[in-house]
Amino acid sequence: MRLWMGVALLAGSWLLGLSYYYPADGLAWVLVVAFGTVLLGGSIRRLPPRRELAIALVLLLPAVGYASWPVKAAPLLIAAGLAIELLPIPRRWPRWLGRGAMASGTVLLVQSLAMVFYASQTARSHELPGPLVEMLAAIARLLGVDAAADGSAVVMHSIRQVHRLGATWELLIDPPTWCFFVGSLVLFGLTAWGNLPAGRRWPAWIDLLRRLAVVLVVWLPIRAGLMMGLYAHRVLRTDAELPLHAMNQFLSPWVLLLLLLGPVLLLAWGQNAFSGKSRPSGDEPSDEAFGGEIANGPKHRPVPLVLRDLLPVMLAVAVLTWGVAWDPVGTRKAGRVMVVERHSTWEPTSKPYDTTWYGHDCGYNYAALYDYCGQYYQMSRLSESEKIDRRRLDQCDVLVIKTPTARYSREEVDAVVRFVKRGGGLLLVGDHTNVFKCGTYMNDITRKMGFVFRDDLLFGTGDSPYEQSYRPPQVPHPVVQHLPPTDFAVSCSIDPGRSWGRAAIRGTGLFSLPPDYHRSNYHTVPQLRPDMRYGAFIQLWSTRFGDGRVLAFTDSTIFSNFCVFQPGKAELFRGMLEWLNHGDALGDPRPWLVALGTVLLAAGLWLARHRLGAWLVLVAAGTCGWVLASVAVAALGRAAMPVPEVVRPLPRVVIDRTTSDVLLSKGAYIQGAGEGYGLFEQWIPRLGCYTIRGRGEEAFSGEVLVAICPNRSVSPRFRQRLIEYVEGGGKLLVLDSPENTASTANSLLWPFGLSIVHGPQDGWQRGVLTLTDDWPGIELSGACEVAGGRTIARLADRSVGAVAHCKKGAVMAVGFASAMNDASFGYAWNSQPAANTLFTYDTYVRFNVQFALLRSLASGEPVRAFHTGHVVIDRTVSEVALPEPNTVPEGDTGFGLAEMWLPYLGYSTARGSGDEAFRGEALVVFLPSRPGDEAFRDRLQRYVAAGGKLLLVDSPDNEASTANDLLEPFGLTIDRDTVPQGRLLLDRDEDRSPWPNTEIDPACRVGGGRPFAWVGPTPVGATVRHGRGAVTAVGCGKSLANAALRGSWDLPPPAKSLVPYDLLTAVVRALMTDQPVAKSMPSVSD
Amino acid sequence: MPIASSDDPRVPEPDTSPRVALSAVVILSAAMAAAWIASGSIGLLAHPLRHALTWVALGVAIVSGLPRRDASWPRWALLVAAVLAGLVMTAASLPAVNVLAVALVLAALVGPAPGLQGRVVATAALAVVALGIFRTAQTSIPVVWLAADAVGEVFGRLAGRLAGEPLWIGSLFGGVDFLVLMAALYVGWLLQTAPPRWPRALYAAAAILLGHLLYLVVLAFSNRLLAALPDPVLPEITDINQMGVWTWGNAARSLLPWNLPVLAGLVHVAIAVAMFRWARWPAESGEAPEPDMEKGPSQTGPPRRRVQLVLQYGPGLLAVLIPIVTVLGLSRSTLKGKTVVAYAEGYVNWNKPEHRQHGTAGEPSPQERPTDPARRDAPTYGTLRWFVESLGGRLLISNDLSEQDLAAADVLLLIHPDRPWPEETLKRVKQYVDGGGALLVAAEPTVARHAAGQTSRSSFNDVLSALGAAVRVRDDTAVAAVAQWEHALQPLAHPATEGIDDRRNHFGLVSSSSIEVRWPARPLLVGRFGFGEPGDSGAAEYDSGEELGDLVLAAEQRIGRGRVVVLGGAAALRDDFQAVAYPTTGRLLAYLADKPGSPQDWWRQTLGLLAMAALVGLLFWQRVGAQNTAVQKAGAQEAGVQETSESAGVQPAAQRAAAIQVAVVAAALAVSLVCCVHLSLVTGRVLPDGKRLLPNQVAYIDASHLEAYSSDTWDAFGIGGLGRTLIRNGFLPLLLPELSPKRLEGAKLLISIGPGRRFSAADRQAVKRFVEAGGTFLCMVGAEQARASRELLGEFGFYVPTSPVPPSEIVREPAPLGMGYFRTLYFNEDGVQASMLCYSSWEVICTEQDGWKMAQWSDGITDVPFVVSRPVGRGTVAVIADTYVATNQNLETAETAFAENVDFWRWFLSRVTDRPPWTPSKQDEPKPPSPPDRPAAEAVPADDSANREAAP
Repeated sequence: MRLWMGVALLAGSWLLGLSYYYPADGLAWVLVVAFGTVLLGGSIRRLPPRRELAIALVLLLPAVGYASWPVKAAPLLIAAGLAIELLPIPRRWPRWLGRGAMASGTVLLVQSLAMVFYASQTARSHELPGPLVEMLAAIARLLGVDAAADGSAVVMHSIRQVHRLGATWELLIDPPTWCFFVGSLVLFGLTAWGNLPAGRRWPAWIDLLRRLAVVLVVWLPIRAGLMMGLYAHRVLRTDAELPLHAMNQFLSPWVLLLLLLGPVLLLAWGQNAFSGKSRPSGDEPSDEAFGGEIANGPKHRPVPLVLRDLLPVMLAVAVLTWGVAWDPVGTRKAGRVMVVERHSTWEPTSKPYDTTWYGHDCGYNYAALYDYCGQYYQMSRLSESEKIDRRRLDQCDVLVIKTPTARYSREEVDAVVRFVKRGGGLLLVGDHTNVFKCGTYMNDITRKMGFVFRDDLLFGTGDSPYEQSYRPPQVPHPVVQHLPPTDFAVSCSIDPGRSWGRAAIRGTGLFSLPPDYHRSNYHTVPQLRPDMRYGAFIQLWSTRFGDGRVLAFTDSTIFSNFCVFQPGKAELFRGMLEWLNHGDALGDPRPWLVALGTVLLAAGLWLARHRLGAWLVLVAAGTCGWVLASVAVAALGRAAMPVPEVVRPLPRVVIDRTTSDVLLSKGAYIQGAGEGYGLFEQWIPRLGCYTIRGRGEEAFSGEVLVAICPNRSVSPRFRQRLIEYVEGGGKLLVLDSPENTASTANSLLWPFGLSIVHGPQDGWQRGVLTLTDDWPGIELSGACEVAGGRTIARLADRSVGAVAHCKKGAVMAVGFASAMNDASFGYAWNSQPAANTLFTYDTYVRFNVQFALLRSLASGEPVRAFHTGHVVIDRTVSEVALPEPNTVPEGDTGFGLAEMWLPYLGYSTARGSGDEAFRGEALVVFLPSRPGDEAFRDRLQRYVAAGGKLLLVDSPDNEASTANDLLEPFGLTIDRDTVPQGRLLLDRDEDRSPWPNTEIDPACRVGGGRPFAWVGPTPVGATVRHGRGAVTAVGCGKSLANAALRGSWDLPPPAKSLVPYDLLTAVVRALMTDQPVAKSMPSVSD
Repeated sequence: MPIASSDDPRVPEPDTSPRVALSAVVILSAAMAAAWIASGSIGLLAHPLRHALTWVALGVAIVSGLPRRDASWPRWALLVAAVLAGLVMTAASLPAVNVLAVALVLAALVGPAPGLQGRVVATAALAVVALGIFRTAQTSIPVVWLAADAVGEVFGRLAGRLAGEPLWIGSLFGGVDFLVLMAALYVGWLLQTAPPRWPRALYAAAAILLGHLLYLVVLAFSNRLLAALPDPVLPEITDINQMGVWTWGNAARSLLPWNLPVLAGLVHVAIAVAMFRWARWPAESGEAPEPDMEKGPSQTGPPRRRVQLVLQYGPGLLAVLIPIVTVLGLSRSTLKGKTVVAYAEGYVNWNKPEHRQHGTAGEPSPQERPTDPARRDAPTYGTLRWFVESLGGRLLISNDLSEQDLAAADVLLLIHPDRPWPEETLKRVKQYVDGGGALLVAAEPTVARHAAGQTSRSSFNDVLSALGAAVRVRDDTAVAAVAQWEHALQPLAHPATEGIDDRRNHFGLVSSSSIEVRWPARPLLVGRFGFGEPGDSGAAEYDSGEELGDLVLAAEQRIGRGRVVVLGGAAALRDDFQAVAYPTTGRLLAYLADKPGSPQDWWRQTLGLLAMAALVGLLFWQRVGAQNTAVQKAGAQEAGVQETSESAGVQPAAQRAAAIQVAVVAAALAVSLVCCVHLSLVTGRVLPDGKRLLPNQVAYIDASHLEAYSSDTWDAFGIGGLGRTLIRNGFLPLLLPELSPKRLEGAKLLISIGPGRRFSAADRQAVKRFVEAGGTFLCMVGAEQARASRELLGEFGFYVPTSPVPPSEIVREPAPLGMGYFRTLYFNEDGVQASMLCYSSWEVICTEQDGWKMAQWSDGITDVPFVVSRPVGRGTVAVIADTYVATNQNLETAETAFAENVDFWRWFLSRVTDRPPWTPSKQDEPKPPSPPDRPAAEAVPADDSANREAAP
């Protein structure tokens, strides 16, 4: 009984130590392993001679040093036991305990392999075969549940809902039970060898195997029934008002450990009943407990172990490890990477990530990644209008298919499949819950290769279901070998079917849920539900197909602009491309290696058959072989596939983590309550560079080093290295703020003649921040004064930003960092500077402060002007009332407020007539009523053709309108047929119109072009491209006049009250940035 | 130091009496635990967990009592057979049968058990059988239930007084089951152990009573225990996170007071272990048995043949007969040709949901009854008329219960009367009942409302008092520990309730009052796990002094020549719950109208009681006989008498015979009980027949194939809204618990919603015949649930592809239609457009030419049908490839509705059934709700930015 319980505890320890279901609990794991070890005390009676024990100890040391926790416990315990055995300790109990440690270590060692096997198999498929599902359903029925088997689910009824309980391996044979089975066999092997005469060991062991099997066959259905019964009970007892939370029992290590009592008692009591002997008492190790027989054979005479007995075993394990862990890299190809934009509107690469585009679509975009990869590879796109055929695909070595949103034709699927067969590399990037049906569409391709993207969604079981951290294993797949620890957003998983391949990323501590197709993004709300699967999942599948290679990755989000440069993400994508950019010249030797290893192992055991008494030494030799092979495989992988060379370098900005630990974003979310600088970091790549987070020497690996609110001590070495870095041409930006009370910024700045003054809060720190003359002021509640250098920013009359040059480099010190923290930037990356946001936080201005400072530092030039564009209000054909400069607009029919609004959007304004009208990037014409001359119209056409933008606003009130004189050359018209009052829609389908559909006054119908606004079925706004420019006509001009704007001027959010401003913002911004009006609508995008 | 010699009289003699081995103690403990778990005595457990725990406890007993490896194969075979039989018996829904399963397995363990262990196991088996008989009596003989309840109440009051906390409990929380088993065990133990017995008897009895009192005192303090626990931790539920929390505090809270009886179990097990472990057993001591105990059958000389026969076959015969006497009801009651007169004056609304009236029932129709503001929120009972007519009867709503109306009444129905009773009316009612009339009083938690000069005040007790009934509806709300009393009810043997289990809310319990019952009234339905909260406050927490457990929810009394049945809640008759509760209400109305004999007739109860007493007596008699044989043998051995080959086998043989007797009794009683209950259920069925209605109004919603909807009527995934929609379209919606040709014969419409269980060949045949005979079969199933209905739909030429598709299948996966829910046009004629809102739809493929694509999704390029129908025979089959399209959150909740979807169903049903065709018109065009108008259950805006932030 004692020994069974010991094995059970060790079996249960894996769930506590591995983060397999729930995150690891170190203390509980230590206690359980220690208790299990004590229970196994003295279970080994006979040991090899001391010399061999010493050899075993030496051979184990590499594994002790190499293995990671909790696997490390196995060699460590054996080694500790050996050490105790070898030491001349006079008392008996340490030796008794030491032998328990040896047994415990050996059991753990084998259980660790069993866990690897369990995880790898269940990650491929959690589902039980059909007959076992039927069996589980029958058990449920026997328990009185109205139940049936349906596919891989046991469907169970309760008043509250019908539960589709996943019929999984985890439900029937959980990891502790599996490890208990394996561990029992191992421990009994040890005790049988130690306690029984030679001829009776195998029969006794076989007998135990049989008994174990019987016990498990009897127990597993009862256990499953007990779990289902408990689940049904907890469902019954859950408050009807609360979501169900009854599935945690299936993941709880303690529940599963407790359930091992069943087989333990069955084995222990069954043993007594069968043998008819009383159970052992006292602490003496029990022979009876395992074999029911007492060793009374002749004393064992050890045969000395020689090197030739060890080498074959060590070699065999090494070869086996090699065969399993090694993934030959092969030969590198030319590096032509093609991203398929056809059939995919999600995560496009084509629109640059710049300083003028914000909001949702700007974040879910691969432009930054595309540019990043361009450093290493020859990147290209297969656009929507191009064919996916052999000719086109032959132009690349690696094809990237990311989140398709439309189905591929059969010919296209065949073309891709043939491309891979011919030796191409294919990267498929999917995402959770079959979003946009991308899984379905990609499965048309992958199904032919034997695997599919599941339509599920993986959540973490930790504090937040949306968080999953990943750390590459010790012997990584080459794809992830250069990867630092990273995070997933939420991914789907891969069902590899029976395809031959390897999980390059296998995650644990996860649970998966099916899609919620009712929701607009199919995203399921995280909840432990009966239809969930849990445990291990494949998140990156690597396989070979024909002569080519395929990688299927399951989380498209992490490569989006908003988080691609967080640690590990860009590196992962680069690793995937690099792996696919290799080919197998010699085929796949791994099956041969595994076969060879197996033969060698059999031969080694055969050769050592007379010395099996020295099993400890053989085990130690095996661990040594494993370590050697693992180290060699990892090293070979790194050597064969190093980080690719940068061919077309992008500027790199390093966020220093040596001196600063400010909060930065994780995945899609900022950390903290707004005091972090995640958005500041995310915005940097908008300037055409990329970021990394660097520590120590790595901090100096970029062109610009940014230290945000440094608060850690600066070592002399780091400071010296910093001076060298700046003198050598590096740029340093130090941001500080009054909130950083433990600032160490001056340790960085003093060498360059700059300093930040953290004075008392004496009032001067509050004021308006200004950079250059045309910059709108930003009201700040505090800043630090910056001494020295050339002032670039002022608060009141004091310098709060300065720059100093040092040989080839430059240093910028800024004392108003908190003006650019997450709170100041609006908390979320997907918010678009909206009317209300601009009024309350000046968010957009703050973004531009960041851009201006970085641009200035990088270029060495003064801070640029604020405005990103120049808009001219036409006075040639338009006579609308505009106020005198620096006066408040008056009157209802004028457009003064509209004019005033444009600077808030980042555009400077001017009024112009004749040629002056064409001096800006855009020309705005409000209610044209004068006939322009021919020259003006010609000039206008040339202006637009050359890239100029024209916004023409008209209204039914403008009875003498000359709008069509200007518009007709561009194919647009503004009809005088008045459209009656109605709701303004941004989508022809009223239900899909993504904004409040506010009532507007009568408007004019706009003909031609691509409509973007309707009243009922009638377009009242349209746009058309002409040459390199564009023309937008708006027929609801009254909505942009002073009366409309003034009505909401002082109104607070919600944005619905600011609809006129939003409309103006959207129309102007759409024109200036070439994006759809609907997407530019602030109240929608927010 | 002097060494005392063995002859020294000062030195006590060493105790040489045998001790009960640890394994026997384990078997005993496990057996007791198994019995109490099986009988549901240890508190609130869902039936599956109760069965599973019974298995575990039985497993412990079995493993501890396994025969030796060298035991003969018949012994093994016997044990295996008993275990298998026990396994099957534990699966039964009757707790008494579950208890008898334990007894059967224990009896099988007696054989392999050596010596003293065998005696202990045999005693335990006997005690468990006694408990099984008691549970049978308690559920079939009302007087036993009332007596047990009184015992529990007395114990509770005593403990409450000791604790200083009022405690009002019944049989369940009073732990009568524990006392019954302990009493049987006590007697068996006392008979078997060596004399002197009196001191031991006193100590043991005192220990049992004190232990029990200890439990009750703790129970009285349960509220204080709850207060001492940490505050409940509730999860933060948001739109993007619904992860729950588990804490020790929450878990402990869920156990109090509902699982406190476990404590009683532990105490009694400990006492029993002490009794058996430390008692002196005679076999080894050789002490002579007490003279009075020597009157067992083996001591009376060679028994006469008749006595022997009685002893041999009597228990088995009695076991078979008891259920026949106390449970079996073979009367086929019917409502055919009968009149049910319902009193109009009540807290009721006799209207039914109508078109254009959504949400809570519409205002009462002026034609039927003037608007009464005090009854503004009264629930609707409008379809009761259809239901009664579907059973062949007639419903008459009487405003004044005139003599003429009462003369026509076979059943008088009073639904929550809420006005003062005129004396004359009360007199007429009393005369009606005394003269042999049947009265059904459906009460509810008391209302007292006053509005616009009108007062509504519950007055059901006035009529009961006038009748002199021993039944009174308490002014409380019976609050169940679990939703809708699932797994928490105990129906007593009665033609109206027999065989109906406590799953799926077949009693239609929503809000109910408890009923005070005194002899000669009898309970019909008892809520085991609940409490009576004073007033009509509904959801509340248990407080000391409130009635805890064993709340009577329905009762009957014979008054004069008539019968009065009182229901604590009237929801079973409401429009919204009739679909669920009609199996019970139909039987109840038929029973009252037909007035057949009942197992509760006094003579049957008396006979049953006597038979049970005789059975227990015989079993104990035989046990004493076996014991005396053993003692005789021990005495003979002591006296040095040479053991002959005959006498050597006497002890185990007698032991084994007694064990076999126990096993036979357990099995016979269980089999007889199950058969009687099943027969009563089958013969007592009263099935609606739509052919009695013109047009056929019966619409069955399949509830026999694990459909995807929630059985909670107004849950987001429930189908309360569908029920109302069907009513509006002239159908009587009823849930179909079994898909049989006989049931379908009387129906017009059969609806299947995302079934999770495959349709058998017989099912498919039944549906096919139903359709070919003119019925309409409607299946709502999306790709995710399509597997189970694939064969059935295939037979009608439909195919809904399944999703997900495993990698081994080389097919083109189906893609969900649209991104999320979508709206699409189903009608576009003559300038009138009508759209419907889908939940999550998929393509449906019709392989036949005559398929009519009734609604399609379009992406502008392709049109994909997801609602298709086609004629089959004289009927129609229609498939909507959207499992949840008709669930409340997409159709109608209790408060609001998607008018456009309600209209869609009106149009759709008129196209696939024989209802007059209806087409949307301009004035019918509903105003589509904007996203904020969607019901609360649908909290997902079209543009789900919250999720979008987390992921695309």
